[in-house]
Amino acid sequence: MQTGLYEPVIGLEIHIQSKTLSKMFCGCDARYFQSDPNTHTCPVCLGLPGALPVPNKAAINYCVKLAIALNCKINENTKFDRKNYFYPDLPKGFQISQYDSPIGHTGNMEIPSPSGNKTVRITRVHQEEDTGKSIHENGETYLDYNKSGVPLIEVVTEPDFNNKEDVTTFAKRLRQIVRYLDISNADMEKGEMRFELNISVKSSSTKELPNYKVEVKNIGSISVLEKVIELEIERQSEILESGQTPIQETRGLIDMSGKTASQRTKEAEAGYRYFPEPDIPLIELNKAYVERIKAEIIELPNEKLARYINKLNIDRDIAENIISDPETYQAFEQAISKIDNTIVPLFAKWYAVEYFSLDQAQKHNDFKLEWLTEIIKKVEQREITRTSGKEVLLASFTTGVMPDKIIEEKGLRVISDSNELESEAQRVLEGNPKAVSDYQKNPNVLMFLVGQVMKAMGGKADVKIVTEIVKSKLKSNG
Amino acid sequence: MAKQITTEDIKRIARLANINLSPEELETFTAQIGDILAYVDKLSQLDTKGAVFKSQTDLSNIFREDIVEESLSSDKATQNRPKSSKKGYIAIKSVLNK
Repeated sequence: MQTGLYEPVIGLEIHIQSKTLSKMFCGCDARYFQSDPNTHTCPVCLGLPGALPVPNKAAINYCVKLAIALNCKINENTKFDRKNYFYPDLPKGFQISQYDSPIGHTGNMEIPSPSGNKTVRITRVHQEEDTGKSIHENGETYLDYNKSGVPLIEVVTEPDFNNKEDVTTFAKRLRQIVRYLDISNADMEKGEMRFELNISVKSSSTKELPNYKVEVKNIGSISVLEKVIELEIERQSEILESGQTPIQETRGLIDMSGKTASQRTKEAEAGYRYFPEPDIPLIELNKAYVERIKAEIIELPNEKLARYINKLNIDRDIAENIISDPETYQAFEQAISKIDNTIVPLFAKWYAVEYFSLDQAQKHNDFKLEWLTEIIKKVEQREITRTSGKEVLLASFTTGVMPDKIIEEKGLRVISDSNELESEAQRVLEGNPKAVSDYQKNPNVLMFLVGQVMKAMGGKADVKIVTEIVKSKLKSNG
Repeated sequence: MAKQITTEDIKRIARLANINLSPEELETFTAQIGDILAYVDKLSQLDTKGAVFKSQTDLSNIFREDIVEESLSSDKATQNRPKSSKKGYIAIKSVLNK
């Protein structure tokens, strides 16, 4: 639709699996992906009577780290609570989560948007445990508790989004942050990062929040998240258009197209009956501890982006590409540590455009990213053409042979010997008398003749020098 | 004084706990839970102004290091399960409402 009459009000809840070795409250291996069902369980994560949960220190550190990175206030006194609900993938009958004293609260994250930077308020960041997995087939439900008890961080935003683009930017930035912090791989295909969407639609002319909200649970990818937002805006706007109010409800995905259906859910009764987890003593996160975790936080995507743009003079789009994940920025920073600052913007461009377009599966073990510097220098000094530069990069990349050698082997060095170029230009002019005589009337002839000389030189001539030579010859002929 | 417990409250609690109650049980439990809550309600006579939230123990910050320990074998973990036609899984009646 997008009639401009309505705009969405969107808030997000994001679940992120921490990359600890063991589970949140027991020593079972948390790396369950593709393991046989029910091979990573014990009395604690199966919810057997009498088993006692003990929090994983690393998981708490990770959660605190993310809360700090999202500019949250840290609750000095925090605790776990039981969230009671009945579902077979939750064998205890409750999830250990956090209710009224989350690890972090009242934070924010800046995201770039076409209309300048925007601030998204973070309501809270808390620690909980993942549930088991249920598979519904053959009229039965099959349960695998390998995922049960894997540490899960929940990030909740305020309803600060009014378009899907900002939601996408936020989701991507958050994924980058957890990867930078090295606390989660946030691999959505493995379910390591999942979204819940709260969305309502209001008239663009009012500031007031709508009096209803629709919740869409369990969205496993950013592209599906976008589709759900589009379809919900459309669906809810139509209802508003007809003079009605959409009902407050929870909807579930039908398929990956983003279509949802109402879920008649008993949980909507909000009968979670939270109470403090009696099996886990209180947790005190004192200032010294928080400072220590803070000191471990490296330069995060927003700061890195600003530094690349302002200090290294890299174009914004190029910089965004390079900072997109730790592997790419780390390789970049290692390579530029050895090169002159003035060439960095150019290096960044080649890296983000030409190098990224190479099929990484074809990379030869001996290839070194620093070689790209050699290639760029040679292009800049007109020793080889830009096209040849790309050819050399590809060859070096796939064969592990140094650029210099490839330039020699393929004979790519640009011919700048003016005698050789002069005589070639002379030959071309003599062979095209009509073009030469047309030059006065039609200056485009120049480019045609230059093209002919370049062709005769197999493309390995400096086009600027050739142009100069042809121009002066045309003048003297005229 | 706490609010009077009604059969509707008990129905809701039973539903949340996934327990079926017969009409007789509903009546019994409404009365019993009502009595228990009325008794416990005496606590609200206490002056709790200025009281600090206390946990069940004086301990705090009890953690474990992030070390992987051995899990149960799949056989052992699922030995009390209902029979499953899907290997290694625990099978239950479908939870999806058709």
